[in-house]
Amino acid sequence: MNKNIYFLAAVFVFLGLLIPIVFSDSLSPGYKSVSYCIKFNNLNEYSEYSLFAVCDTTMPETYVLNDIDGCYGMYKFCNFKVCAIEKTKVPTTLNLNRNAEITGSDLNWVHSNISNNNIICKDLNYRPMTQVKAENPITKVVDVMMLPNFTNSDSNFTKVKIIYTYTGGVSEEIPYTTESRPVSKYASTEEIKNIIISPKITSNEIGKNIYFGVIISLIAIIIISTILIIRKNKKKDI
Amino acid sequence: MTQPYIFYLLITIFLELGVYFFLLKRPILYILFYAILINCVTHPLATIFYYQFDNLILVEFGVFIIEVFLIKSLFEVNYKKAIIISLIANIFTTIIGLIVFII
Repeated sequence: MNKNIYFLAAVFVFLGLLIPIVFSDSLSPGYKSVSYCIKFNNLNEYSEYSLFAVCDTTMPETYVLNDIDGCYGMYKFCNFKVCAIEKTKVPTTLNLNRNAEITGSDLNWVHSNISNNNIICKDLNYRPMTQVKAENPITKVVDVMMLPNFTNSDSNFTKVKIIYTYTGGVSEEIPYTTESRPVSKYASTEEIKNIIISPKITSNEIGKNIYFGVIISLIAIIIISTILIIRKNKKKDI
Repeated sequence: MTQPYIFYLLITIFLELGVYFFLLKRPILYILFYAILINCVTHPLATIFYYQFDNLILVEFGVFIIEVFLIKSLFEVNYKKAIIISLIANIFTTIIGLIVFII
């Protein structure tokens, strides 16, 4: 019976090893992953504000946005929003000037002030691009955006340009002329243009399903372990 | 995507229940309970690995190995019988699964 318990322990370890797979890119066959992030070209105009990138879905994260040259991205399933508050309204006890994830009591302060509308948030409404067809030369995608006026409710982010970086380090900048993401000129054929897919549609659905599957497995393993342990104890008693 | 997944899980449980019942000749509720548990361990893992590695034979072999241990432990049979039951159950469900997929 001990062997069975060791076996179940091994299955638990095995499930633990699955966690990185669960939270990794679920690449569709024939596709490769590309790095994706967003730059804000007018971040220097907001020196009187504390700005945060806030993801409150999937993998919640809150980061300070204070690096003018920083390129920001969140967990791939998260379409983050940008939140702002005047620096004069931030208590001096808070440490919000570092370029790092906000945690603990600082995070509680940020979220309670978002709930109370003291911190104004604006949705980016972007679709990250993290997968392209394997033969596509794109290796990195940077969306350049302009931060909105946080005091004006009608003001929204402006998409400025996209920077594609290709194999070999060559870059191509294309300005946005519509809301749609400009297509790389290197993706010259219609076939390549059309297969640039949104990870929001593909990975998220598979990811959710995988997460659901691991939970079912874990529950079943816990029940089986309990049954085997009860049986073992009963046999000992006899 | 979750709804079809549950549908396939239930079909697999139902098919393996038939194999277990035929080969073990034990009360149906007893077999049903363990068939649900065994498949709730292996089926989701098989689905995850199939999506990740796209190799049905490797995935089915892994399921076969895990089910041998689970059948042996839960139904308290010897390894020989556990291997036979797991092998038949998995060949049966794979064939039916492929037919359902093709249809």
